[in-house]
This record gives sequence, structure tokens and C-alpha cells, in this order.
Amino acid sequence: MASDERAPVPNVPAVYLRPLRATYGIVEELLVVTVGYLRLVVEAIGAAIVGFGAVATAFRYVLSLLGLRDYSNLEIRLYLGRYLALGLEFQLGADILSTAVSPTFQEVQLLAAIVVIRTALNYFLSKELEREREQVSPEPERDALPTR
Amino acid sequence: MELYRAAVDVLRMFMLLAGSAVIFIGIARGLLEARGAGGRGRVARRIATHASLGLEFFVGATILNLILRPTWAAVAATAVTIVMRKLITLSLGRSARVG
Repeated sequence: MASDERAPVPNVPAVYLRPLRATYGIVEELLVVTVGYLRLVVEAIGAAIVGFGAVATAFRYVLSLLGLRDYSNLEIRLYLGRYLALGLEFQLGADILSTAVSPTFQEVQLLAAIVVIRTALNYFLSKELEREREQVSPEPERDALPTR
Repeated sequence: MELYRAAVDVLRMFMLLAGSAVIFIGIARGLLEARGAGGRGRVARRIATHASLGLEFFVGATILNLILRPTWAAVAATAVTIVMRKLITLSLGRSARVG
């Protein structure tokens, strides 16, 4: 279509545009704040999962060290790796949300590097979990409750 | 917000301490088991499995560190920890295959 055949743009007076711009600004600010809080919540969930996994793994290691349970180091590592992989998934979710509100190119660059690192770590963890799960026998009966 | 950051920092410190303790215990137990035939291989395996578990704790600590301080230095530290961990895992797998 030739440019002269386009529909004419109506000349909207500035007085009508002003409230529209103000509304747009408020909505944008609201969105940035909401995404910021959402990112914080997702990140906190990831951190809590990693923290809980660390405490539970340390507990298992101590039990094994004292001879109260018979976990191998590989089993204990797998146990922690599972929590780390799950926690990392949440961290990646938080990173994705962060990209929505990162204003500068510098911040986006750093965010991209963090995403790459987390993705690589998650990939390696998943691969190792997959491979080592084949080596370790299925969940032993010691964890199961005694049945009559 | 400050409370959240403090809690994450405490968890990070706990993971660093746990990782260090696991590696130290691995070395100590390895040295205690060094006597007898095949002692060298046994010690190496003992230390490597503990180092691998300890590094897993360090990886968790660097993940939490990235939350607290998303800087280029933290990214580099995480990358180095991942590479170290990967190398030890590869070495463990190789020694397991060799026997």
C-alpha cells in the first residue's frame, strides 16, 4: 500500500494524552514492583530448598559417621545434589523474572552470565544424578518403616 | 529484607563449614586407614569421595553467594568451584573404572 493511501492519523490534543501517559506510568511502576517481589519470593524458595538440603545432608553425614546409618558418600552426595538441582530451578525462574525489570545493559550482561552458570551447573548436576542413580541400588529398605 | 539476607548468609556459612569439615574428616580418616596392603589406593579413594561431597557443599554455598552478591567475582568463583567439582568427579569415575 502506498504511504499516501494510509488512514490519516487523528490529531489528538495533548490534554487527552496526559491522563493516558500517567496511567501508563503507574501501571509500569506497579508491574516493576510486583515482579520484584515475585522474584524475591521465588529466589527465597530456592534458597530455602538449598538450605534445607544442606542441613538434611549434614545430618545424614553425621549419622553415617557415627555408624547409626549406613549411607555411602555417593548416596549422601546424590541426596544433596537433588536439592541443589531443585533449588537451582527456582533460582533460574527468579533470573527469568529479573530480566523483565533489568533497566541497564550492564545488569543484563551480569544476569546473563549468572543464568549461564546456573544452567551449566544444573545440567552437570542432572547428568551426574542420572548416571550415579544407575550405580546406586534402589532406595534401600532401611528407610522403610517396619511392616508386620 | 535484611533478615532474609542474614538468613541466607548464615546458611552459606553453614555450607562452607560443613564442606570444610567433610573434606577434613576425609583426609583424617584416609590417613588413619593408610596402613596395610593397597593403602595408597584406599586413602586416595577415601579422600576423593569426601572431597567430592565437600565440594558439593561448596557449590551450594556459591549458589547462595550468587543470591547475596551477584557480582562478576561471585560468578567467577562459582565457575571455578563447578570446574573443580567436575574434575574431581571425573577423576573419581576414572579411578572407579581402573579399580
